[in-house]
Amino acid sequence: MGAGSRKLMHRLLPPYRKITEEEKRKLVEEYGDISLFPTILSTDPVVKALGAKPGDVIEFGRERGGKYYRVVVEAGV
Amino acid sequence: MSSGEGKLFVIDEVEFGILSPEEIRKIGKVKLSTPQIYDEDGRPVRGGPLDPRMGVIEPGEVCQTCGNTLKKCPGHFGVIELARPVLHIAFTKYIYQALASTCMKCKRVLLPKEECERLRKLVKEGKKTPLEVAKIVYNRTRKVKECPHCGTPVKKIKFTPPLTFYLEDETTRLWPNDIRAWLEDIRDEDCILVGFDPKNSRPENTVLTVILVPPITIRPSITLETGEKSEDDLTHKLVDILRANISLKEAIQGGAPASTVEDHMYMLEINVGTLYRNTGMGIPLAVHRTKRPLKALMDRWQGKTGRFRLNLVGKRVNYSSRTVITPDTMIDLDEVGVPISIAKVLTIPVHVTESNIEEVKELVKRGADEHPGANYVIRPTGDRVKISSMNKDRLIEELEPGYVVERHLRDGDPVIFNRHPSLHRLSILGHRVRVLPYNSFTLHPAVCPPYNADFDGDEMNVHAPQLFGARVEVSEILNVKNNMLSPRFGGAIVGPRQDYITSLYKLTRKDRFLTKAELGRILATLEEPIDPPEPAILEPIQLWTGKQAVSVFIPEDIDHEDRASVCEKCDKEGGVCEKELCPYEAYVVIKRGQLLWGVLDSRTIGAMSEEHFTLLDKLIRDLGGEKSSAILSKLLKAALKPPHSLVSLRIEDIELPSEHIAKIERMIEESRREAVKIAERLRKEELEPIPGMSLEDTAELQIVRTLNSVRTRAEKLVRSTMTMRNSLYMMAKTKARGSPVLLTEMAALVGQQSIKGKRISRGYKGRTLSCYRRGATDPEARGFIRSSYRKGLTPSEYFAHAIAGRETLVDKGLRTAESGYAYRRIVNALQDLTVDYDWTVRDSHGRIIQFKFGGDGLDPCFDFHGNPINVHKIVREEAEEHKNEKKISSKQAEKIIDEYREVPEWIRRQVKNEVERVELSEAAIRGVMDRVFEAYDKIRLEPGSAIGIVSAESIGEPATQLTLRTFHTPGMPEITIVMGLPRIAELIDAVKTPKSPYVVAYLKGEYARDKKKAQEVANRILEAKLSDLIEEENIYYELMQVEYVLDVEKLREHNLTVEDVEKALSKISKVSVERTGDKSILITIQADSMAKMRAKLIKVENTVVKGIPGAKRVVVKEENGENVIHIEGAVLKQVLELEEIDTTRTYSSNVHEVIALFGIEAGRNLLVEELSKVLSNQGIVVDRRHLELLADIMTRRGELLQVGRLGVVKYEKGVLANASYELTVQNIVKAAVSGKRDKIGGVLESIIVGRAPEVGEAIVKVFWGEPS
Repeated sequence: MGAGSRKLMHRLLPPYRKITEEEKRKLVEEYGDISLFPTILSTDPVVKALGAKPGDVIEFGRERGGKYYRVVVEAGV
Repeated sequence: MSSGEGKLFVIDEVEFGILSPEEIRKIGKVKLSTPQIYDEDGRPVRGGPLDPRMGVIEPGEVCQTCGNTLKKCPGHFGVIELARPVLHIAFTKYIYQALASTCMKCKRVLLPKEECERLRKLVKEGKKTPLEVAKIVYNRTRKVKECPHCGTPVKKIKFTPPLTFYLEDETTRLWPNDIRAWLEDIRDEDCILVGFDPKNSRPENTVLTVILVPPITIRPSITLETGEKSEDDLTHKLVDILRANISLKEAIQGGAPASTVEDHMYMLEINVGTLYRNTGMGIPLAVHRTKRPLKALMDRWQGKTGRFRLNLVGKRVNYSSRTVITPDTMIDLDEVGVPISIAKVLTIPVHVTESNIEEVKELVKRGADEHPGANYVIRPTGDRVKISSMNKDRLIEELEPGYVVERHLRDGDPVIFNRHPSLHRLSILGHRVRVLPYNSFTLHPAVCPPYNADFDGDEMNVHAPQLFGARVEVSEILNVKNNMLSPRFGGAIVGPRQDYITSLYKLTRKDRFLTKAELGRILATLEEPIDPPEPAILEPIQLWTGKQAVSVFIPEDIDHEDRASVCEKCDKEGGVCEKELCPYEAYVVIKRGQLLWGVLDSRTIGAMSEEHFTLLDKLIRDLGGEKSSAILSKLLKAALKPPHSLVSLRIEDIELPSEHIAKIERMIEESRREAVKIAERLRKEELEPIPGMSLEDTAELQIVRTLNSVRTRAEKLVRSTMTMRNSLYMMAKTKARGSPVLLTEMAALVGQQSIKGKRISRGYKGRTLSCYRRGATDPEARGFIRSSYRKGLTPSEYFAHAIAGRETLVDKGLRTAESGYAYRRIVNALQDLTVDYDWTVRDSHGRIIQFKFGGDGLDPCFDFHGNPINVHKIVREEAEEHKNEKKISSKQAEKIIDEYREVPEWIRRQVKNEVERVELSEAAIRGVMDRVFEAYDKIRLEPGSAIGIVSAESIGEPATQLTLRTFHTPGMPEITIVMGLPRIAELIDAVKTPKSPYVVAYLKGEYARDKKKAQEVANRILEAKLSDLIEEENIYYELMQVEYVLDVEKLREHNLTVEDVEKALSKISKVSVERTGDKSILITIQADSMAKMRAKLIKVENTVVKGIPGAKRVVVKEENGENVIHIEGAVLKQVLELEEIDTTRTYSSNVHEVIALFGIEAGRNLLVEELSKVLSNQGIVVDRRHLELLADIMTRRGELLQVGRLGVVKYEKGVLANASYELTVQNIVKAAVSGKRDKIGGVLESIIVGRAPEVGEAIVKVFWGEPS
């Protein structure tokens, strides 16, 4: 986690974490082209809290045990 | 090329562009030169607008260009060479952009080289579209004074719509040929920067030098009955263009003065312009002789009746029929009664083979007129011969394998049955034909709910699938039996209603006994002999209970426990449920297929039980569609046997005993007096207002409450007098039809009528009807009806009733229109989403929307209100199977269960809960899990499922039922919250500033517990403006001073002092504050004009003295044992900054606010919650998975996208999808300019080009041999 980032917590915000490069590789293996993944803007509070950079993948917990992955993208492009 | 034959191609991609003059000349071979349409003999003139070389429109004629007749000639284009170039009206916006962004001398883009390079790269990398870059270029070049390339000073371009361009302030006109020359000189690499694609649409091609004339086939002339010929709008336009063109040419050649040439030029421009567009372009409307505006080429595309939505996306079909529907209880659930007259017209092709030739000959022999006959014989050569008594024998002789015979529809044929509006998948189902001698389609009443059909004149459509594959799909995939479950709420949608419910109730009641004959009639519906059960009573005569009769239909392995609709909910308020001893027989127990206790009614067996897992659901889940529909079919036939199916009503059913009537009269009088008293108190201003409400509103609320209490009390009275012997009451209690409220209206009083949720107040000046005094306070004058329907309404009551009745009707009309649009938008956003082989939900471009639908991949159809798999039964059976084996601990069991990772976690948990109760061996656990997995595998969404459309329909279909005007959540009259359809619209529109935002603030520890402390916090949040605190104001304009006398009461309310106000005001610039009394302050304003002073004054009065600006209303409410503050206003950020607030739970109803503070993922969850709130508020159940999918497509890009043309559709869909959705012309023009390519992939695009959409079975592809 980057310096000065505080833990962002809310009832509406499911558990989230930045996944490792290894996990990312596996994800691409399973689902293919990463450019087709859902995205999250680099300006998003969650991205900031994690100190994630464009290209990183953030994992969110979802309903009924599901997982969701968003790729960080540069905002404004 | 002679058309009609040749290879078949599949369209993969559509490329848009603008034709160059050379290309136009290549396409249009016929040169048009004269405006004359016909010669003296009435024949089309060569070189005229209807030159016969452009195609044939008369049958029998032969085309002079391609040699084909009407059917095969595709039509041929012509050209008109223009005397001078003319601007294409649809492109003027882009022409302007190109001119304004380039240098008039060197024609380079007016930006430094590096800048250009950077922008070009953006396009190349696909980060921006050419048009987006063009906009940036245009905006940046606004400030450029001289060309960075050649140093030429930049002159401003002025565009005066519709078609005129000037160079710098209307001095030098830029003529179309100048513009063309300018655009020609723009280099290819610069084209991209001004929005054009140099390959397919060079900018100069937006200036026309030749016109491509559409073939006659798309503008046929019509011969009227009088013999007069009437030409198409386009032909008229072409005549005008040709005329104007010739005049201009002559003027130029004749050396006419410049002004004359300009006039002619103008005429040509206008006429060419209106050929393409004749709406909203700022040109004078071209009109027909009858003043009707001519329909130009591009106008033909747009709107619901345009080319796209009428012809390309919606297509007409053959082999279909339509007529009125009527009920038939004797046919099977999945049958449809088809009139003979229709069966003789709808046909199915039969391929003659050696094995069926005799049968087919028989059909041909009967011919077209006798029912199971045939209409056409198709020879192997392809000729179709109509069967008639004349050629019958010859045709029979001729028949041999290889022939095809079109035979009549007959019993058992699979057909598609449909009722409009087709709001969900179940509006189109497969049925089996039953040819019957009536004139209407008949359908089983239990299949009404999926179609939302009734028999008050509804019409429905039948389609006969032709190909063998299609017939199989209809009977195996589309049929009723496999579609008894709604994907919206995951329960049965086909099933009994109304009469079936009362019948089954009466049949299963304790006092119902059947004689042998009666039982026999019921058992006869089984269609196979069975041994009757032991009679319940042996002497003096054998009698069976109704429950026994019903149990015959229930399979032996069904167990069920439930509460019927007739349940009085005795255990709700501290009472005890007597269970099996229930006096109402509401406690239902079925053990091993035997109905032991309780009755069957709406809740236990009815269709469309949205919230509740019913017996019917259980039957379908455990037995599958085939078996359960057979059982249902038979049970329903048995239900309709007399006498239990008979219901009779009498007027006494809605009569109350006289003492009750007197009591109700007294109640009415009492509350009347009470209401008058409240009105009186309001007049005298003695009323204590409810916080946050005005006095009038408070009085109104109290009056309405008082009056409504009469109705509630009367309802109790009615309930207490009526018994189940009363058929009306029975219908209401069993939820077969009607409700206690309606009974009250019939028997006791109709009650308050309302418009817009308020008592009736409009009509005459100060009164609702002329028979009342002005300002009358008695309830009758405001629409209170004290009569019952039984008694009859007085004229004034009748009038009030009509007012409310009218509102209902108007409301319904508005609602259907609005929900229809919302529906269309949701469908457009979601329709391309399908499940992929890796279980992800993706759109047609392969973009991932969800990694597994709903997180667990389950088909919402089979969710069965959270019980998708009968775990109990599986565990029981496996325990039995492995009962002698060594048991393992529950910890070990759980470990094994969790090995089955593919089974969703929540289903595994259900297994764990079940396993905890029984000891099992390892083999048993594995057996259980193998079966659970197998069951799960059957009910998960298959790859190819068009889940997007299903989800869209599941949200859109119930939207019709949503109210148009709901502003409150129950129990919170103080805070207004937009609910119902407007709220749904707001959410899917991703409105930045919703109408009624609110914040729900949770508090930390002691503040949550202590009401007083919570109230203190609330008070600090509540905003107080100066204007809220003044008692009196005196304005001295000459001195530019204002004296405010503050309201001490209000100050105290807000916990403020005069000093606080002083302090707040002193912060405003150019205002000085002075204390002039113990509760008055004087304000001096420095302003140089009266207007400025007034403006300042408004600012002063709007000064927020205390609280969070925008927190308009604040209410503390106790929820689940803690105090929660509800705040009206979009103030989440400010609220979160307060120390007492629990920031992990406090939220706002404004999705944008939450996204800004907690991120997109929190926003999407809020979106789901808010959507779900609106729906559940009105008692509509929609599986959350559908809402989640909608929220996911709205948030996929990391920012909130609107569902519609500015959001999801724009960013996620192609040109054709956009064009067929909204703004057809604009989208096509845009695509043409930027040379867009549209991959055909989505549902809409596929339909447009005539391809099977890649959904469902069509995702399967067969490769022949090795792909190269």
